[in-house]
Amino acid sequence: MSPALAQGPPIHTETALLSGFTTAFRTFVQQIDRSGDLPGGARGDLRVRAVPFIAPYAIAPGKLVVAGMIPYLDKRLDMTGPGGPTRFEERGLGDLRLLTEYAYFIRDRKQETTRAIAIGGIELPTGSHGDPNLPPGLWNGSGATNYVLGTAVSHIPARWGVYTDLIYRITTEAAGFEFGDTLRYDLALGYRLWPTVYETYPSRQFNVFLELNGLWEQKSRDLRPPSDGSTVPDSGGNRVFLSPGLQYIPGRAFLVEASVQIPVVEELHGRQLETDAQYLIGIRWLF
Amino acid sequence: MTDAARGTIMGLLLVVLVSVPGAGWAEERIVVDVAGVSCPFCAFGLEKKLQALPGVEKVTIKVNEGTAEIEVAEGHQVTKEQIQQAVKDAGFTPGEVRIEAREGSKVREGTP
Repeated sequence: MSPALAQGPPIHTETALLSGFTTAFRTFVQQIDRSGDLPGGARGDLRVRAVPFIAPYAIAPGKLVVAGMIPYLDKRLDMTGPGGPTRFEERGLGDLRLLTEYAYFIRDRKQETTRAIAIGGIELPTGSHGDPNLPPGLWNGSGATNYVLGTAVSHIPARWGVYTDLIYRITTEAAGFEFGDTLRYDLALGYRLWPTVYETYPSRQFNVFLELNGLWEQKSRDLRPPSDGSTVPDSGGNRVFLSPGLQYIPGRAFLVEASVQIPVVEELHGRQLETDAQYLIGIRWLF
Repeated sequence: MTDAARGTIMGLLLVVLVSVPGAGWAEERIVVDVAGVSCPFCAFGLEKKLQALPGVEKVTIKVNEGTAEIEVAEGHQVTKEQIQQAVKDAGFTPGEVRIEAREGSKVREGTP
């Protein structure tokens, strides 16, 4: 009996396999808890809850997909400094991201596929921004129009799957502040835990993933008086998470997934909050 | 055996055949090799495209074998080109298309 085929899409890493749907919907709840020392001797505790709504549409299934994504954000920062405790809060919709994904390489074989996609997109400033009473990191949006360029490659030879992506985000300035460019780099290994042999579609299945999710961020630039437009010393850096995840597909067109992200590298410039916990639970539907 | 007994047996056989689900409805079973179905979650799109072909009654995707089996209703004919196009439209690579009688014997040779 040949090894049965692989699994579902990875949880954090982009998949290059654009087949399987005309329209789809994905959402998840992600919680991020960070704490640490901040500039000025204050202590900070940050909690972010993000609920993105992602809706891809296949113009040509397997070849060309467009997608819209907007997050609902709930952010809270508690600062304890010499002047006593202060709480900053912000919630609402974030920036709208519109993406196009095009498969520039497809090699299908029996029980195997290798695919590569190009990713291009734009972020529109739909989220609230510019509140001078909030640290820019707490704004729901950047206020700027940003651009996304990247690629993702997936190779699914059998019960295993290997996925990788590289996505660069070019930021622009708005409201006197420019967040740094970012480079997202991910690598995921997927494995279908059960059933050991996938006979006939649809069958219930459990998949496990182990991902390395990196995000490098350039320093931000502050142009608001009294700043002179120089870079913000306590910004930017590199974070890498080791992300084990579980995915359950109960039937035809629905899955539920969860993942914990363990920080393994946090090389941050200056004084910034470090990750205590980061996890998500989510669902996807195909139509 | 008398003619009456033979007639009764034939009648019973007919009743049994008609009561078997699908028997007498689907004329053909078409099997198409599909390369690249390496994500069972993605088989959803393939099933949907094949199911949308006129006269298709049932689609069974055998992920482990890399094939899709299509049962076509009596009075309908689905061409090899239609099947290959449906597989391509779902984002996969079509392979050989085999047309068989529902019971497994060939009814049409090669390309319809």
